[in-house]
Formats: sequence, structure tokens, C-alpha cells
Amino acid sequence: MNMTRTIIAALAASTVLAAAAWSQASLPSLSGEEIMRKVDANATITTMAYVGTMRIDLGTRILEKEMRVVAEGRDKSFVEFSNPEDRGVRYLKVDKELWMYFPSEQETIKISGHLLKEGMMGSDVSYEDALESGAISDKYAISLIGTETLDGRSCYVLDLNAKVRTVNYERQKFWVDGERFVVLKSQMYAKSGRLLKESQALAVRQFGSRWFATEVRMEDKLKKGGGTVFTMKDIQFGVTLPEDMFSLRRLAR
Amino acid sequence: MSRAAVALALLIPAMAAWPQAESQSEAQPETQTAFDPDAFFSSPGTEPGVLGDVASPARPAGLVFSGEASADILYTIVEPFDAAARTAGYTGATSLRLDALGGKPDEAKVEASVVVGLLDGDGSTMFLELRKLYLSIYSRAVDLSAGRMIINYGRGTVFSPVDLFSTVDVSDLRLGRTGTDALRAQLPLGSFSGLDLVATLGKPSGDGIAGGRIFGNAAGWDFGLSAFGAGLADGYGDLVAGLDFKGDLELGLSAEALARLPFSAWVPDATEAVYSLMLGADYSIGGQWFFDLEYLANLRSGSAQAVGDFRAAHNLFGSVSWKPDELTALDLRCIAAPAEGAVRVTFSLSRSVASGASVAGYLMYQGGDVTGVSLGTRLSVAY
Repeated sequence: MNMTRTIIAALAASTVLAAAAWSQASLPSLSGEEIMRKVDANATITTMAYVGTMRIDLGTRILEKEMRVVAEGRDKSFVEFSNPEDRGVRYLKVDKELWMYFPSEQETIKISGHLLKEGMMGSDVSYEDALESGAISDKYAISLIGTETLDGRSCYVLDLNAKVRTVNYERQKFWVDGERFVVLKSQMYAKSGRLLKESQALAVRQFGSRWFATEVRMEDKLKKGGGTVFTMKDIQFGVTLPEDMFSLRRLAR
Repeated sequence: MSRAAVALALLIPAMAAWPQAESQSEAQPETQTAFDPDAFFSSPGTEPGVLGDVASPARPAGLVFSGEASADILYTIVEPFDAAARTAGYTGATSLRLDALGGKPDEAKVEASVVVGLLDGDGSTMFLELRKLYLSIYSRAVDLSAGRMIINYGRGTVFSPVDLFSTVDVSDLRLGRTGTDALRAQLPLGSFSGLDLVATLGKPSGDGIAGGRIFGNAAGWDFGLSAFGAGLADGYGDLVAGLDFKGDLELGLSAEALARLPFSAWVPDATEAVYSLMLGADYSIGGQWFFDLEYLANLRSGSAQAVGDFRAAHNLFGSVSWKPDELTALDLRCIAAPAEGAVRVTFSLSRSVASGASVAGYLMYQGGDVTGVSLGTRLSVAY
């Protein structure tokens, strides 16, 4: 009887492994650079506008935020908060520069460089994460280290090692959906090898021919709390923006 | 305001538009669709928001009301180190701030902020402060505003000699600013530059201020150049010219320089000129410790006073804040004029106890002509 159970278990295990192997083997053979090019092709945007919601788990309390976001490429974005506590607070990001507008004092301030570097007020993200610009392939050596199944999706696993000093993280690891070419999970490491942050796509939606992560959890592994979940809603791609959309004038209006 | 929230909001487009590698040829072409910013910012979403069935608009149609109610209890000892002159007493202050905002970013905006309060000490005194009440009309060439508004030019947290209109209120725990009655025209010269023309309203010509400021951004540094006539309409006022900038070299750096040149019958009097120079630096460590340091020097060649509230030859401001989490803040700040023996120290601990509600305890010491110590607590609720 025991022998029969062992054989059945072995058969079941081999079936699962075979299925997993088939699933992984079914991914086309691509290099790390080719995979990132496909991710890029899938995710490249000209302009977009959306309603964003944020759920920040501080451990002892949940903070909820709501905002309107307009973006052009990855270098320009305009954010205006609409939840009651922060209504009217706005941010303008252009390339590596960031300005903030406080409606109560009618004040526009430029965010200092040291604040870009620091983690922010118990949060899971730094400004530097947000201001990251330029091509990943210019800054990181990308290599394919294997395939894995993540939440039932076959993924390429990429290892990114910094080629230049001007990067936020010495090493990153991406799990890229092998069919939809969306980054489903990423891990950011320090030079020491310590895991600093982790992000995971919680929802991926199709817009025309593109797949897009519309819900992402970010977690700072060095801090307490349950991370921050960001959700994008009412997404519009390819919108024609006013000429002065990303200007200090519009920030203060 | 959560910086985390903002960082994620900024991050998402960046993540979405993942590396712009050499694959533009593979990118999917997008059909451009019309976009109305007014409609986008003023209409509710179609999907659930964090507060309701649909996301709330950033700028709803009509007036949006918000505000804050606060109550302070303060115990003050005057001349605590002089038994003969020592007095002490409790003061209570209850205030209600009501803010109203309406309009569209491509058309016009109306904004108001009024504070009504009751001071309880030996007797009860009501007060009313109109912080803001102005109307702005926007066009492609110029943005026009009229009414009581905050005109905020300063780069410093406390010392800002170029802030001729809305100086910082150092008695306010939050270092807020007061509005000024003015007519303002803002002309854009580029995405990060413009010309700002301002004239104060409702003052006698001898007290009025009028002039302009040009501002821009170069090599990542924000800068401004200003020139205003203060009471110059009758030829017996001052010409006030300033330069300000803010940038960073890891350390956040700011500086302001101002020259006040008195005129008599339209003739400048260089012997009475006053020069002010402010240098400031800010830094943070680990996202929890924040440091701010400012120095203001006023150089007088005659008897004329420096512009602003800080008129001593040498003035110092320093602050240290510790924010162990998103909800708690411990602040220590000091403003001093060492040569005059004047000092104001504020120590406060605040904690957000619920959404929009916070409790703070604070200790204030003032030394100089009159010495006083105050111990207070504040409960405030935003709505």
C-alpha cells in the first residue's frame, strides 16, 4: 500500500514538474536585452492621464490618497491630490527636477537633492525611485538567469547589474511575464547584496495591443508596515496635452 | 502630506514607461486623443475611489469648502527668573479656519481663507482674520489676480528679505504667512520662467509697493531677480532690489541678497542704503532627521532700518526635526539675534491621532526685553 502511495506521489510530482518544465520551456529563447526591448516596446507611452489611488500601510494605520496624474514619457509628470487632507497639493516632475506646490501658502518649492535620496516619511519609496530616468540597458548589464512561474504566469528572470555609478540600486532582479512582457515583480538590492525594496504587479490589464500593470505594491524591506499599493484607474493613453502642462505656471494655478 | 504617496504617483508613469531602450521601432503607435485638463481635474472618476463609489474630482465644479478647527490651552510665565516681576496665567484660544476654492485651471479661480477665533484670558476677545480672498483670471498671455493673496518669493524658511509682501509669522507653530492686498499680473516666459508684476492695493501712496520679479531655472537652480518701489510714488520712498536662488549640492542651498536704497524727492541717498544677505542650508538623514540653518546679515550705512521683521545686524535660525514615522514629529527651532540678546526657542511634539486630527504639545521660550515661558497644548481637526 505504501509502495502504491509512493508511486502515485512520484507520478503526481513528476507530472507537476513536467508541466512546469513544459510551461517554462514554452517560453521562446530570448536574451536579457531582447526581453527588455519587448518590455520597453509594450510599455513605451507618449502621454497618459489617469486617476490614482494609494493605500499606505503604516503598520498601525492605513493612509488613503487619491490623485489625478498626467504624464509624458517617463520624464514628465504632473500630480494633483484630491483626497480632502491633501486637496490641491501638486507635484511637477521634469527630468530629474521636482517642484511641489502648497495651496495653503501659495508656495512653490523646489525639492532639495538630499530629500530625493532619502526614504520618505515612513514610506516605501524614495523620490529617487520616482526620478529614475534613462535607459536601463545604458546603466545595467542585463542577463537572463532563468525562468520561473509567478502566480501561474511563466516569467523570464533577469538579473541587472549596475554598469555605472549613478544608479539608485547596485543590482535589480526582474520577473518579466513571458507572454505579456510586463514586469510582474522586481527586487532592488544594495551593494552588500541586501534586499532593499520589492515591487509586485497585482493587476495587469490590456489596453489595445499593450499590457499594462495597473496595480502595484511597493515595499521597503528595511521599514515596518505593509507596503504601499498604488492603483491606476480611468487610464487614457495618447492624450494631447496643453503646451504648458508641465510648467511652473500650471503648477500654481 | 505624504511624500510616499507622491513618490509612487511619480513612479508609476516611470515604471509604465519602462526603459526607453533602443527599441522605439517596436513601440506601439498611439492614436492621439483630445484632452481637456479642466474636465480631467474637475470631473469624478468612473471607477471606485478610496473615499466613495467613484474617485473624487481634484477641483470639483463650484466652491469646495475645507478648513480646520483648533483649540489651544497655554500657560505662560512672564519674567520667570525675576520673583518680583513674575506673573503667570492661563490663556485659551479656539479658532475655526474656513477655506473655499473654486474655478478651473484654464479659466479662473477664486480662493478664500478666513479664521474666526476666541481668545480667553482675563476676558474674552473675538478675532477675525481674512487670510486670503482673491480672484484670478487666466489667459494664454497673462494670469491676472486681485484681492488678498499670499505672494511668496522667499527661499528661506524664516529669513526672507526678498519677501516684501507676505512674511513668515514666527509666532505660528507652522510658520504660516499672512495675505496682502494686491493686484498681480503673471506673464509666462517659458515652462520654468516668468515675469511677476505686483502692486499693493488699499494703501496710501506713501506705503504702497509696486514692481516686478523675473524668475527662472538654470542648470537645476531656481533663481529670481526683483525690483520694487516701496512708497516711492511720491518720490520719498525706497527702491528695493533683490536676488534669490535655491538649488542643491547634496545639501539644499538657498540665498537672498537685497539692497534698500532710500530716495528723497526722487534723488537716491546712498548714505542711507541698507543691504541684507541671507544664506540657508537644509539637509536630512535617513528620512527621519531634518536640519535647517539660516543666517541673515543686515548692513546699514546710515540710520535706515532693514526690510522685514528681522532688523538686527546678525540673525540666526536653526531647526532640527525628528520624524520617526508618518504620524509623529518632534521639532526644535531657535531664532536669535545674539548681539541684541534676543532669542525665541520653540519645542513641539505632535502626533496624528486620527485621519485629519492631531494633538501637539509645545514649549516656547522668549528672551530679550521681556522674558517669558509658555507651555501649551493644541488639538486640531481638519475637515
